[in-house]
Amino acid sequence: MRSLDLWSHEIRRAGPAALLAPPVLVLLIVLLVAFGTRLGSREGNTVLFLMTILETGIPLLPGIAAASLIGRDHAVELQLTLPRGYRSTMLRRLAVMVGWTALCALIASALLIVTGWWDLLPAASHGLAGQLAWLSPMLWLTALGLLVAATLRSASAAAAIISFVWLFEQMLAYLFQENQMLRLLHLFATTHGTVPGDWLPNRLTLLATASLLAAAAWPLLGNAERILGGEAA
Amino acid sequence: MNNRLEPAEPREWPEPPKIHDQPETPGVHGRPEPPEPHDWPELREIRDGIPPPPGPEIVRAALMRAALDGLEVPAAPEPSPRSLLSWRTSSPHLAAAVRGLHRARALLAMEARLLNPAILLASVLIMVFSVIFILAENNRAGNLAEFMLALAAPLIAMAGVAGSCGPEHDDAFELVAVTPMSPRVIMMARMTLVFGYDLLLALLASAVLAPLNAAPAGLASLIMAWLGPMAVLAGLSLLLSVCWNPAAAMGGGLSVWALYALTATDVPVPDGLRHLWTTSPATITLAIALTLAAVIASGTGEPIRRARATHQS
Repeated sequence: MRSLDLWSHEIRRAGPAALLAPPVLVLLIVLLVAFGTRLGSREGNTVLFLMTILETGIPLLPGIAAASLIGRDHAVELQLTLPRGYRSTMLRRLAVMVGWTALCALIASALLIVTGWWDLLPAASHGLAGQLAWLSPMLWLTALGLLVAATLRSASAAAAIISFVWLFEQMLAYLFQENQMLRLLHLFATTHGTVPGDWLPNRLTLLATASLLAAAAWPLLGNAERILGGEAA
Repeated sequence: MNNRLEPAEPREWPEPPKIHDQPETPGVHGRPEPPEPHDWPELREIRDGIPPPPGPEIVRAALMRAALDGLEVPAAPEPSPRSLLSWRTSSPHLAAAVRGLHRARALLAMEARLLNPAILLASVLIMVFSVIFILAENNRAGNLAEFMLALAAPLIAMAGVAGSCGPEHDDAFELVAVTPMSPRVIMMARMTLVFGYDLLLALLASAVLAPLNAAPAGLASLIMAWLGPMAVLAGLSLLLSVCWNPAAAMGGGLSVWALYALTATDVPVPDGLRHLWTTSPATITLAIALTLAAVIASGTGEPIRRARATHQS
């Protein structure tokens, strides 16, 4: 099978729900940009909505997708006989979701920059570093989803834990803002605000810890027989 | 009547051919043939006291005897004195109910072995973390316990139901589908176990929090904060698992759950969602309706929504 066919197959395998969710969020941003003020939403509220969608809504999607990777293969014996390792298959599937979501987020942020809304965002940097507003939490949640899924081998349990972490980061915003160490690990520092000068270190710390989480998941994903055993029973 | 067959009369055996008179033939590859039994005169003497085996007429005789005598029904095992006393003194309806209870207990015990330990572990982790967080942050927010348990309990119930119900979680679903046991009964048994486990966890968390002044409005108010949403979200998850698939159940349930979670932030959410997140006759009715719809849908036809390789093949 050619490489292009393989990627095409993985895109079809992701399913309409996973593929439609990011564009739906982008559409929501477009509607808010176009009609938010006309519908009576104040500028501050509109900015908050836009940042909430971009920084908290979009990263949750690949996080849940990564948590749901395990236990979807039924032809286990066939998979185990393939020359290509199952880890690369899983990472390719993950890359489809992360890549597609990142593309949609890029389009949304470009729209915000062009229309001038990006300048009103509370703590976001400008230029290329500004894209870390959505990229860092997205990669962090994705890496955590991968690790939890590989550890528990249950899509439902992993998705529940990812959702709970996402919620806690939202609710514990004030705790993260108060503590200097926790401030570096706050996923939603752009929306909820942070100390001036801490935004970029926060984003870079998230990227570093995301790579640690992915590194912890790496050996677990290499045990194809365990992973392909599906949901733990 | 005597069931044993009488031995038949001894019959005369024909004399063996006198092979000693025949010329000796060489064996295979020149070796001599092994001696035949009638070559040994000792065997002829032993044979004299042994009756000959019955002929083919024994089959007809056995069938005739069985038809005339009737079948002997094996005796039922004697019940223990305790059960004998309780069953004979009670009504047949009560006896049937007792048998049904025994059957339900056995079914629940068997289904408990199939539950995914990862889901049970995740439920415990989420609930323990919630309790610790509530106790740590209780001084800052008055209704934190109600809000947190109203999020944690529905989440674990929804995830537990989605992770336990549906054909995707039964590798031998075809076998289960052809057994006399209804798939509805199996689904209800599994749902009872998962929901009961999560209900117990949430009750335990409430019982721990209430004496520690984490619930200013009292234990009953704390339980009312999460019971209704938990039942509704579990019912929604069950219906989507049965009618669609577990992934859709997680997605749909998480969407509703996340919308309510946003009430903790400054993002405005519809008021109807806040009404859904209470324990009221409306929410309980909704939960029962969702569960009933799932039960009805679970027994209708083949598992047509099993996971496929792609979504377009």
